[in-house]
Amino acid sequence: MSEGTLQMDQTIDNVEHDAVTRKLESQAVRNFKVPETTIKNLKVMLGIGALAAFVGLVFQRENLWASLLVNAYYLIGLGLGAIFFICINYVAASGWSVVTRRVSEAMTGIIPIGALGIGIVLLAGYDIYPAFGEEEHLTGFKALWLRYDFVLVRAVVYIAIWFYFTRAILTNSRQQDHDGNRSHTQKNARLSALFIVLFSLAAWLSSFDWIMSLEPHWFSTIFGVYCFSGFFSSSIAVTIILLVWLQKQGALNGIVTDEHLHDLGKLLFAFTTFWAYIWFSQYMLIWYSDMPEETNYFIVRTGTVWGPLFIFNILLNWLVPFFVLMPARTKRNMGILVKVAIVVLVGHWLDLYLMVYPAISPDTIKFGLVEIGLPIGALGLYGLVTLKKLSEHPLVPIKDPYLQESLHHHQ
Amino acid sequence: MAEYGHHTEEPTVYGLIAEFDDSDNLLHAAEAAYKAGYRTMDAYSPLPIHGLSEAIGFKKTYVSLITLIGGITGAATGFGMQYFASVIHYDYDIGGKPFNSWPSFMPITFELAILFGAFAALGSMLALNGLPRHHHPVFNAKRFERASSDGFFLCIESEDLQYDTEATKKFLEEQGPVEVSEVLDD
Repeated sequence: MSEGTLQMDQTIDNVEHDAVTRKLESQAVRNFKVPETTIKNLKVMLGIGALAAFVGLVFQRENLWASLLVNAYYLIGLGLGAIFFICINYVAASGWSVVTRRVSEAMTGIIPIGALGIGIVLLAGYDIYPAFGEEEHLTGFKALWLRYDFVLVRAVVYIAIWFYFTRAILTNSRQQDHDGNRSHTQKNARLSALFIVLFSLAAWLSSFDWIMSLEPHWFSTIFGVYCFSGFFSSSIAVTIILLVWLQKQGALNGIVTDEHLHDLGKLLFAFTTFWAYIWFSQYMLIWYSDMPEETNYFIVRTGTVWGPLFIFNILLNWLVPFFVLMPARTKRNMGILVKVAIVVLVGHWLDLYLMVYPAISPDTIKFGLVEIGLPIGALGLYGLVTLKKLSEHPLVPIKDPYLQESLHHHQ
Repeated sequence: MAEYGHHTEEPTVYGLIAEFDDSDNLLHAAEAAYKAGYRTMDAYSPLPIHGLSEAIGFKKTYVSLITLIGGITGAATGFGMQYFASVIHYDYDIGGKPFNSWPSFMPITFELAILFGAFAALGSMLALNGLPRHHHPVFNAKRFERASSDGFFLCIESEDLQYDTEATKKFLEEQGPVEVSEVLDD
C-alpha cells in the first residue's frame, strides 16, 4: 500500500505539486477574508428577519413561535449534520475529506444559536405544544415523558452533549494546526466514536420532544431517523455550496477539486434517497396499519389544504436530486450540483414546515410575513456566523496527517 | 485464434508490448501513442494510475445505461405482477383497502428494481469485457507477470489500423521503455 501511494505521488507533476504547496501557504487560505459586500448583504437579510420577528411578536404570536421552531431546528440541524460528517470521517480514518473539514467545522458554529432559538420556543412559545397546556390529558408514560420541566431538562442535556463534544473535537483539530501532532487525530477518532452514539440518541429523542410532541397523540418511532436524514442531506448540500463559493473566491481552487465535489455529490445523491426511503417507510406503515391516532397525521397533510405541498415536498427532496444527480457528469458540473443543493435546502425547509404548521393550523395554510421574513433572517444569520468561523482559522487543516492524501484524491 | 492443443504453422502476432519502469513513463507513452493515432491498445499496471484510461482513449461504456434499463424493467415487473395479481386476476378485499393499493406494492417494486439492475450491471459488465476467460494472449509477453508487481506495460495490438511491425516498434522504442517485444497470439 505504501509503495503504491509513493508511486501515485510520483505521477503528480512537480509543477502542480509546487502550485498546491504555494496555495496552502497563501494568505487566501491562511487568512481568509470574507468580502465586505457579502457581509453587508447578510446583515440586511438578518435585519429583514429581525423586523419580521418583531411584527410577528406584536401581531401573530403563534405564527412567530411556529416559524421560529422551524428555522431554529433547521439551523441546529445544519450544524449537527456537519459535526456528524466530521465524526464519521474521523472514525473511518477517511483521507479524502480532510480538505473539506474546515468548512464542516465552521458550519458547527450555528449549533449554539440554533439551540438558543429552540430555547426561546420552549420557554416563551410553549403555547404551541398542546402537551404543556391544561386542555390535553395525556396518561401513563407519555404524561411523564412530556412533563414540561422534564422536557426542559432533556433539552439542556441534548444541547450540552452536542455543544461540548463539538467543542472538544474542534479544539483538537485546531491545535493540530500548530503542533502537527498525530495524537489529535487519534483522540478525535475516539471522541467521535463515542459522540456518534450519544449524538444519535439525542437527535432522535429531541425530534420527539420538539416536533413530534406538537401532536402528542401521534407517534412514529422512525421520526428521529426521518429528521436526521433531512438535516444530514441538507448539511451536505451546504458543504457543497460553501466549497464552490470558496473556490470562486480564489481561496480553495486547486485544493478542493472536482474529485472531492463529485464525492460530496454522491453523498448528496445517496442521502436524499435515504430520506425518501425513510419518508416512505414512515408513510407506508402508518397508511397500512390505518390506526386512527396514527393516520390523522397524514390525513391532515394529504388533504385538500396541505396535499399539494405534500407532493411538492417529495419532488424537491427526492425526485429532483435523484434524477438530476444520477449520471456522473452532473455531479462533476458545479453549476448543476449547486442548483440541486439549493433545491434540497429549500425542500428541507418545506419538509420542516410541513411537520410543524399543519399541527398548528390543520385547515388553512399559514404563509405570511413571518413565514417569509424569518427564513431570510435565518439565512443571513447562518451566513454571518459560518463565514466568521471560516475566517478565524486556516481554510484547510494544514498539518493533518491525511492532508497529502486528500490533496491527491482521485476517484 | 488456434484451438487449444493444436499448433498453426505460423503463429500470428497479437501486438507489440513495451515495458516501462515507472507509471509516469507509461502515462506519457500512452498519451504519445494516442496522439500518434493508435487506438487499439491497452495498458497494464500493478496500481491504478490517474488519467491512464483517458490517455489510451477509454470511452464510457454502456454498462450504466444497461443497468438503468434493467432497473426500470425490474420496477415495472415488480409493480406489474402485483397489479395483475391484486387488481385483475384475484381482486380480493383486504382490510377495506383499494385493489390498487400502490403504497404496499412499493417494497417489491423497489426490490425487483435493485435485483434486475444488479443482474444487468453484472451481466453487461461481463458481456462487454469478455470475462470470464481462462487465457489472454498478453500473458505470452515476456516478464508480463511483473504487471502485478512493478512492471508497467503498454501493448499496441496488431488489429490497430495504423499497426506496422517496424514503424510501431520504432515508435515504442522512442518512448524510453525498458524493453519492447512482440507478443504472439495463441
